[in-house]
Amino acid sequence: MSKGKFTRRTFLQMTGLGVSTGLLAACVPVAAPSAEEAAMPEPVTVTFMVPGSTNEDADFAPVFEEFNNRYPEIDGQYTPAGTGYGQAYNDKLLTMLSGGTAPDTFKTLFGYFGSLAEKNVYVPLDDYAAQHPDETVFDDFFDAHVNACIIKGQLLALPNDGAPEGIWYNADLYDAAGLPYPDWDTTWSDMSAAGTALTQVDGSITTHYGIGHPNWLGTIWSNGGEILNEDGTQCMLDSDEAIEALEWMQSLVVDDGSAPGPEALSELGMFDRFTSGTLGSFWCVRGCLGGLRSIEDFQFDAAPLPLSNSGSRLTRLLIGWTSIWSGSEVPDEAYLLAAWICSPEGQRLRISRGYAHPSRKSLVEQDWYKNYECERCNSHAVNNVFPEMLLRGEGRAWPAHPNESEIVQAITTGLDSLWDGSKPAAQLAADLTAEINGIIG
Amino acid sequence: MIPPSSPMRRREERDGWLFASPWLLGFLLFTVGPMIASAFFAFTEYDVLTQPKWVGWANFDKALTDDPKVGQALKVTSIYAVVSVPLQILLGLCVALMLNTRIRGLQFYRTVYYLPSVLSGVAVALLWRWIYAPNFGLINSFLARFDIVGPGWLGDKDWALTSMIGMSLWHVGGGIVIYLAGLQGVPSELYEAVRVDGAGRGAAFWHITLPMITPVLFYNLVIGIITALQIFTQALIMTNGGPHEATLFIVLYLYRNAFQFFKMGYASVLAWILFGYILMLTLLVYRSSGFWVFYAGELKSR
Repeated sequence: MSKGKFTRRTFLQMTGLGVSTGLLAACVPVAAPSAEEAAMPEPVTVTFMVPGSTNEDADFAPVFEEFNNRYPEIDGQYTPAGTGYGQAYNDKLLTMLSGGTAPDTFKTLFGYFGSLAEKNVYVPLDDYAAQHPDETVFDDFFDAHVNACIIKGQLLALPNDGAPEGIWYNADLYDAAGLPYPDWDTTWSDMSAAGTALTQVDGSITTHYGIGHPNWLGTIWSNGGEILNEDGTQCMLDSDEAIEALEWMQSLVVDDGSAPGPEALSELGMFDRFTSGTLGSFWCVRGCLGGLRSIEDFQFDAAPLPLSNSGSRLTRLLIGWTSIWSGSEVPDEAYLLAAWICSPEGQRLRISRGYAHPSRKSLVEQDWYKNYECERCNSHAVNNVFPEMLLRGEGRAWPAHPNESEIVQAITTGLDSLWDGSKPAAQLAADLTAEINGIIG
Repeated sequence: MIPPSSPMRRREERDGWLFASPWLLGFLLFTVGPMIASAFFAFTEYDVLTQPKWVGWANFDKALTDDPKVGQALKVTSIYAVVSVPLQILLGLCVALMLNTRIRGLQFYRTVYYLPSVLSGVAVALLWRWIYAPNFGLINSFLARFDIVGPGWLGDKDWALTSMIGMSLWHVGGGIVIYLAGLQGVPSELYEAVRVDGAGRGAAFWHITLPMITPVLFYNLVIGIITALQIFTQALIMTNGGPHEATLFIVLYLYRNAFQFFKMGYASVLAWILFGYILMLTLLVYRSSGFWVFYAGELKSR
């Protein structure tokens, strides 16, 4: 009986035999390449990382296909992080950077560019841009986009897109209330009045909010306020202009009840409220059009940001910083890939599906962009409002700062007090100023 | 009896270490190694991307005396643990007692109660966001039937932590399985003995069931404390620490420092503070166990 027993010894012998066979098989030489194949050098692999999503992956597919056709000596590889846009992408990028396995080129998100630049993560691109003027086409970038990529006089990224923020409004709700659509002359007061008129309350429940939360950065800038001084050593949130902007934001939620407060937003975010037809207008970038195209029940459109009390507007730009990792072993090839992704043709291939805003002046003049088909867009202002704000010089990116992620976190946490009215705007501004100055040190 | 120095004993010992080696290696590489590293980083200014800079006790000094957010995070985390762990034990024990009876479809009920605890944290967090939705969420819709206006739950600074505690009860299924095992290990002759003595159900529970399952309660209490103090996913997904830092748990604050603010050295200090806190509470529970945990066959003098 014991002869047929599967003993530990048998198990170890069989495992050893299996491992040995595998090792031997791995040592067998592969077939020798033909003379023609041997003459061709192996293409250099260059990787590129973005957060990634179904739409983003589809957008980039033709970009990489064309790149690999144009540069057969380079194998450009699209390697999405699979995290979506948010902190998870930053976590993955940071882990890869610290582990020495970062992609050759990658996209940096809002709140991280200045912090990473401080740690010498990026290759300065000035020389590459000078060496490759045809691939870079530098003068064609919007000024605001290029400025956002320069830190301490060094070009550390190329902008592969960059979305200014505008107002998206529900045209059917505006029509039903007999209100004029927002346009270039619309002011904060007009938006407040429209927000109140569009708000519908049923008992204790607000079924329709008239207006979304204004973005704090663009609102403060529009009124002439600043978050930091020019060299980033002092917080400026307690200026009169910034406080006035904060007061207006607070009035929408606390005084008028026309913008959703924290409780309402814990239930449904602004984007979902708008697509469900229960929000009159909200602040969002051109790229929101990708998601808004699914709307079937009402007409909508885009408008420029309203004019502040000081009579000006400044929209926040969300830049798609495309950089080369300082640890890359193939920075030359990586630059060619980055330049291609940011080139007019590369951007056209990607953006033609409607999910982003180009960083190129020439692209917004082209027919495919100007005549972009949007079934439910009321007047197709979506195709000119955003670039027009840029051409008027009304776009600006967050100035890079070594502590930017901590500063942004402090402000977003502090704004809780603004939205629920637990602190007057001036008090909040003073508290935030002290906290941010402490962060800056 | 195999002599200790025999070849067979040595081979047995070697094989034992060999089979345990994957776990041992994993433990050394992925637990002990990072702990040693974090102990070093705690004394440095380290942003993960450049060389750490020795700063001595500065990070500890800041965390313990100069950072109000640490106090807030420890307070929030402690309240969560102090309230949620007893509630989980109480609810888990009640359900286990119900499931320990002979009723039709018992296996089905046991599965139903256990099922929620196998769902991923992210899915559960998203589900509870809808349950807590102020206007059309499950709870407030129910309250509205009685003309009660429910609170804003996760969006209300006074209710956000309570909401998190309520949500923690979703995971009692894991504890129920352990309570059931404990309940079924109580010898039936003990119940027969108290019945002969004329004791009712309440007395049987109080004098037989409860003392006999105290080792199980003890285990669940220790594990519950350790798990509760490390709450993270729910806070990150549902509230991101807000509103007004009402749900700023210590691990969330640690994570922000490490990955958002590039302060891995400071985050390491927070990790060690949490480690010390958990160790202290666990030791306290261990010390107290001599008074209230009874093991079969053990004699305790009052």
